[in-house]
Amino acid sequence: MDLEGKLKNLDLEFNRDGLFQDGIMEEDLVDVTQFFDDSASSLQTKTIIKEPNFNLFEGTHSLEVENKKLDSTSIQLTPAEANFECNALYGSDEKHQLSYVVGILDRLVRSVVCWLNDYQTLPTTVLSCRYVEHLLLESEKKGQLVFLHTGHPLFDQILCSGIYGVCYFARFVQRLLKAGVIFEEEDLNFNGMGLNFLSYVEDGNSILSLLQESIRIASLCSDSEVLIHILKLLIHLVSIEKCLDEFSTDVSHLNALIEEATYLSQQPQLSNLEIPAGSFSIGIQRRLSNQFPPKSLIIPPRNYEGFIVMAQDLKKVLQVDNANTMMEIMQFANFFNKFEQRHVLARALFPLFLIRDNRTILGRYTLSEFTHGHLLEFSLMCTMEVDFPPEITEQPLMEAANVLFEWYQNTSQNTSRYRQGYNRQLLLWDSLQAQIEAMEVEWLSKDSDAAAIDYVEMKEGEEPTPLLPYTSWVYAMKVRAMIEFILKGFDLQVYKPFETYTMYWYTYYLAHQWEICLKKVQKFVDSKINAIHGLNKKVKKSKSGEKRELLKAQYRFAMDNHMGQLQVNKRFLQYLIVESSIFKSLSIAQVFQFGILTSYGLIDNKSPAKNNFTTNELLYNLRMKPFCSIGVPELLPYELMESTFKEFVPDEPMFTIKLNKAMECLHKELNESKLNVEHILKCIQGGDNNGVLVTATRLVKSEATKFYEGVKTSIETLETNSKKIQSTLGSKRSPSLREKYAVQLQFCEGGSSFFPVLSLTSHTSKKSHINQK
Amino acid sequence: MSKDLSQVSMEGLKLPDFVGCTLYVNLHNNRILKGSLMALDAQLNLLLDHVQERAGDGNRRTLGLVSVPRKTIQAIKVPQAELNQLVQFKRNLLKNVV
Repeated sequence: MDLEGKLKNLDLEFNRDGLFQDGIMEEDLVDVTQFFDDSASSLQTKTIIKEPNFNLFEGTHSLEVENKKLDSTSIQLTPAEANFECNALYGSDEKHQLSYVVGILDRLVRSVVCWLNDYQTLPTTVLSCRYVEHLLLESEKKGQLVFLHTGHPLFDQILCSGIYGVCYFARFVQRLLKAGVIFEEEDLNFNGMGLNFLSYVEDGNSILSLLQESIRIASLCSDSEVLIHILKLLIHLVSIEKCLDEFSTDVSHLNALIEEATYLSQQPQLSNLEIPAGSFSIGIQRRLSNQFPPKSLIIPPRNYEGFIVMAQDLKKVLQVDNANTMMEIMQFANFFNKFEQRHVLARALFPLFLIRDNRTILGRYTLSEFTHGHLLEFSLMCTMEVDFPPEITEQPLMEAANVLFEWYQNTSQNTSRYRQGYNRQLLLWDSLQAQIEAMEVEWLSKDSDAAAIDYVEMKEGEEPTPLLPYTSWVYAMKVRAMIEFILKGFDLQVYKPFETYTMYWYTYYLAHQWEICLKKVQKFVDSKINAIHGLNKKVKKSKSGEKRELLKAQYRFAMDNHMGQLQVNKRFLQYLIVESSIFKSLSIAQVFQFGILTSYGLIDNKSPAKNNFTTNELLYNLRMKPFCSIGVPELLPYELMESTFKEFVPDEPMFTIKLNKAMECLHKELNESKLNVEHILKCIQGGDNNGVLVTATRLVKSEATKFYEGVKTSIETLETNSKKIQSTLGSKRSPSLREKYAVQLQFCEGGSSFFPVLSLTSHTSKKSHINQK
Repeated sequence: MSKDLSQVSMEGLKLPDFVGCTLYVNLHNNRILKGSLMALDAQLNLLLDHVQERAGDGNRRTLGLVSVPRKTIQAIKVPQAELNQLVQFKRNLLKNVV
């Protein structure tokens, strides 16, 4: 029993008298009403007396007594609801009794779907069942499971076990919530009304036995098929916790859950079942501790499909266990929750299943092995630093692991928190880069052999730059996070249309920085591959037998141990380079489109709102605030944004020629990005043995395909939209256009939310649209 | 039966002295709230925190932060012991100031 439970028991033993069991009786109280009234009457009307540390803003969350909307005591219950007796036997005969039990369990189970899939509150769904409240309260008093006393096994055994099945599953949900990877209210509501969700039950086996026994009893009744299926569904719900307790990847329970849910969703008779009057109500909000205003009862729709969604999403998460490389784990995390938000339990399970309490990753890698693996599959392979002793690299790897885990945890967050998570990560990656770069330079400078430093010659004749594999990886992760942060802002509709230019212009800059880094690492990998091939040539040219054998051994070793990984790294880097190129092309295409619309006077990169308290520069700096403390890539100043903007706006003289040129550039970029997306899609479909790109999306093939298909749809929509704009506006500018049209950011169906379309809307249609609303 | 104010010395006490004090507020239907006074205004609307409620049927529960409009209040009560402490504290304070 937990500490809370023990304290409660102590409290029960120490049963004091008084109004609130606090030992204070009515006669111990002094009536100060008159004193308060008299004193208040001498105060000035606007006076507020308050506790010095109390913030009056908090007061806005208070519940006002005798206000029907805020005071749960004012909830009116029907006599049946108020006087509902759980230990009474409902139903005149066995047929009706069975029908009632099935009806109650059916509604309760569907309430679970409303709670978890539709983000409803616990008191208006699962806890609205009077039997749940009764059994949890009574069991808590005894510290063990108690049963109803109706005298009929349908209620006393079957209904109780079904209810305990639901409660035990709720306990598992509570456990996930307490792990801190998902958030109360934001991801799900667990307002338990102060009830103890079976903390005194050691494990799920006792509940499973109860349910199994209930199935046995139910099978003795006639027409109990649906009831048995509901009980089986509950068994599979209770068994879900094995994913976390044993990190079991056995999905047979989840498959069975899908089967049961499919069967139950096809039973039309369930919609006609009656339940005992008063067995579901909002009474619990009035009876038990409650810090929230009253909420209406949720009548669950016929929705067993919600369990199918949940089970499929959980199965998806468990697939991460099949990842063979760090790239695959990373791509899994990157895509599994990206295009569509996964079920809340799947999102909660992912980080807990991946990063385990025993400080291992998937039970296979230690924290530093995991981080080291990421580096090896990016930039560390075949560098001088790869052989550095662990006493040097251990500490920085641990630092890196912490930030890397932030990244992993963030991938399973809900869509809104996802961007916030990136915001927090930016600083972490940046400070990690500063630390690791200093350390890396120190390691290398300590080495007496200057040749120990790996250099990359980006262009012939140019000064070679040091690779710094650790720093390069951190930098690449950071810049990628910055790009995601900006683009996610479009998805969440954070930006106004006038900011489109700035944000895509900045995305282009970041994608360019990212590409430079990726190309540098790829160049190094290439040089290592060439060096191995060079060894083979040397073997052939070598005349001395001893030297030849030595070279041959070196060549074989490199081919066996390095070449495979280097080739994979090169192709994965190529995939990232193609992706950076897509971001660049699409961003610059959006910039061109914005410039064209500006040339017609339809939009500007300045706020249309007139405000004496701010300037466009301040707004720009505010938008870029998350980047202002980042060292590299350096923050681009407002003046630069302004000066480049003018270059994208076709103007007189030769407006038409400039406009056509801008259109040409726009279409060229869109074509290029489309080719690149198709290239990636082809490689995802073909698998990683295609010899060109390694996308590492084997485990998230359909999710990655959906994402890139979405980008492709956006490209096609941007293309169509641009032609439509051109045909609508023509090639001559006119001040009247501004009166006719406005520009809006619109999402296209099935498209990527990172690239909404700057579309023209006519003022008249906009007005009528508003009127219709 | 609670004590009448006339039986108790309220010497020197003012409304701000009751901030942080545990109040027992009687409402309609024999409903009683017990909570710490966090704020009040000139109309004597109260803001109580850590509120426990005792309904007319004897059911007890926790409500948290609650605002109590004056019009809903039938009586405001303070435990005698707490009131004595307040008076004593105020007396000592004044003595030290003087």
